[in-house]
Amino acid sequence: MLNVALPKGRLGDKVYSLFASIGYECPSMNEDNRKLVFESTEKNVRYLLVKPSDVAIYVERGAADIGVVGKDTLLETTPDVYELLDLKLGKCSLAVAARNGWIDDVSAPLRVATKYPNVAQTYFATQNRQIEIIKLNGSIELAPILGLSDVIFDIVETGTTLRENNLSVYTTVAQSSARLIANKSSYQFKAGIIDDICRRIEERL
Amino acid sequence: MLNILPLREQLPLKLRAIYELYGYKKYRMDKFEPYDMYRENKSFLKYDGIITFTNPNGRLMALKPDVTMSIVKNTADSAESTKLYYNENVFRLQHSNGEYSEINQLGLEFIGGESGYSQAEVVILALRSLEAINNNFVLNIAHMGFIASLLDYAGITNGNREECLALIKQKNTHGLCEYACKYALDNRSTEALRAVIGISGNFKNALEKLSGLAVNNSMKEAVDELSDLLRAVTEVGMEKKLQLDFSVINDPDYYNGIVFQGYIPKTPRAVLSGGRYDNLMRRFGKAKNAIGFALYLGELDRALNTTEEFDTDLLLIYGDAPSWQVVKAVETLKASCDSIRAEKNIPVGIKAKKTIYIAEVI
Repeated sequence: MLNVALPKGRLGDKVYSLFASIGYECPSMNEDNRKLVFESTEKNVRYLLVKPSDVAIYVERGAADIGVVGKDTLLETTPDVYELLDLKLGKCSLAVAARNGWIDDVSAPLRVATKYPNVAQTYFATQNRQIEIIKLNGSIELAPILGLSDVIFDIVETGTTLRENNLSVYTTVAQSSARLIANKSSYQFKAGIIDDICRRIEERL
Repeated sequence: MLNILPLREQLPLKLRAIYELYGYKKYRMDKFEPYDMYRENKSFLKYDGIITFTNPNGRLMALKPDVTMSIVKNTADSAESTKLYYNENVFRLQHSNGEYSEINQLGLEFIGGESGYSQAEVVILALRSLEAINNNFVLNIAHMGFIASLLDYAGITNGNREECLALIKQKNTHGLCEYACKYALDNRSTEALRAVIGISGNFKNALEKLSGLAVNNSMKEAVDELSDLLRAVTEVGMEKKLQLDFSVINDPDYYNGIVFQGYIPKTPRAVLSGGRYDNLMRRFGKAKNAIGFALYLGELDRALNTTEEFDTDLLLIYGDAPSWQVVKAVETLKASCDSIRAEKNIPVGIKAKKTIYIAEVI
């Protein structure tokens, strides 16, 4: 049985449709309920719905054999897993954004509000810029509006949220999309089915 | 007597027997070391921090985070070869949660051996060690010399190597394509790197594919070394357990030649890791070559521990009976069960296969 960790939410739905379309469907997934584990004995696969930022942990620790997770999360948590495929879904970029017309005061440390403290730290270190990280868990856009931070370091999908809050992208740092990851040990013993999934998805993309 | 020990405790004894059989001697390590040595070679222990303290003379000391470095430092650079094994606890500071951790490392080192036989012997012992844990296992092997040579061939300079090695370790072909664009690698090199990532599975077939990618002498030498190894492992009939897989490559500052990692089902990480580390020897000013591996038995705790259904076989409730009667009852009953536990009253939270009252036996 192959355990597949999917991120709960819109991305997870898209990814499941992709898996179903390549022959790994699991009818119980379509039922409207609050279950978190869905199993198809016929296809020998079990889907687990987990919080998107937890997918990598499930896979790294072997609770799931493979999983789908955003590159942004992989950059932030650097789990020890195989990154087998770029699914090209859930595309977004990691960017530094600030209030429209903001002017950088280079004489002071830059205050950065972000959900991604590690990626931000690494990026600003390459810029030789001293920063102060303000770790937030959501509504990052609020921080520069209230003067809590100078800039935000966050994912930008369409830019609508930024625009509506009078913010704009200052620098784009990295691109992100959904990646198929695999536990290193599971891959050794389930390479047959994992490679098959990769091959079929690649044909789809 | 060995049978009552859980597999987790039997294992070190089984492994010792294997290593002794091949002429390895046990190495006992001191737990403390001046910190300087680790400061200079910090990247050898890439993932974790070192626990330090100041000794009464004001010198900064470390609780040993690793055994191999101590062995390398302490081996005399004489002509003879040294074969050692160890079973030690090492100490690290885990960055992820800032906690101190104690890690059990069991492994062996073959220092100063002639290269062909020493690596065949060490790889076979690695296979035998994994076999002692579980019949279902794989040993993934890669060759650092081949990779180094391929990176040279692709014109990847030192500053960008680490990034490329990280992609190979992740089997990240899409990332490699981006990397190739970013550093303007030519098509042939990019294809070769992609092919190397794609190599996995059966050693013999994979080796043929690798042989097709070898374009210069040092790559060909690496392929020859691997096929010699395959030939040697075939002699002990374990060639099916070998896989060629370049995701096991390690830090080139320390490792050269073959490197390997062993996996068993139900443990999320590699349980065995090793390779040829002549470069580490050079860093300590030693001319000899060396190869070895370590097993991380802590990784196995969950895979090996079969949780027992009952706390005890027989529970004897003696109530107000005098102690001599209880002793007598235990003496007679112990022959008929694996474990017996005498309690005055029925204890809370103890699961016994069978409960009897002393009145029933006297």
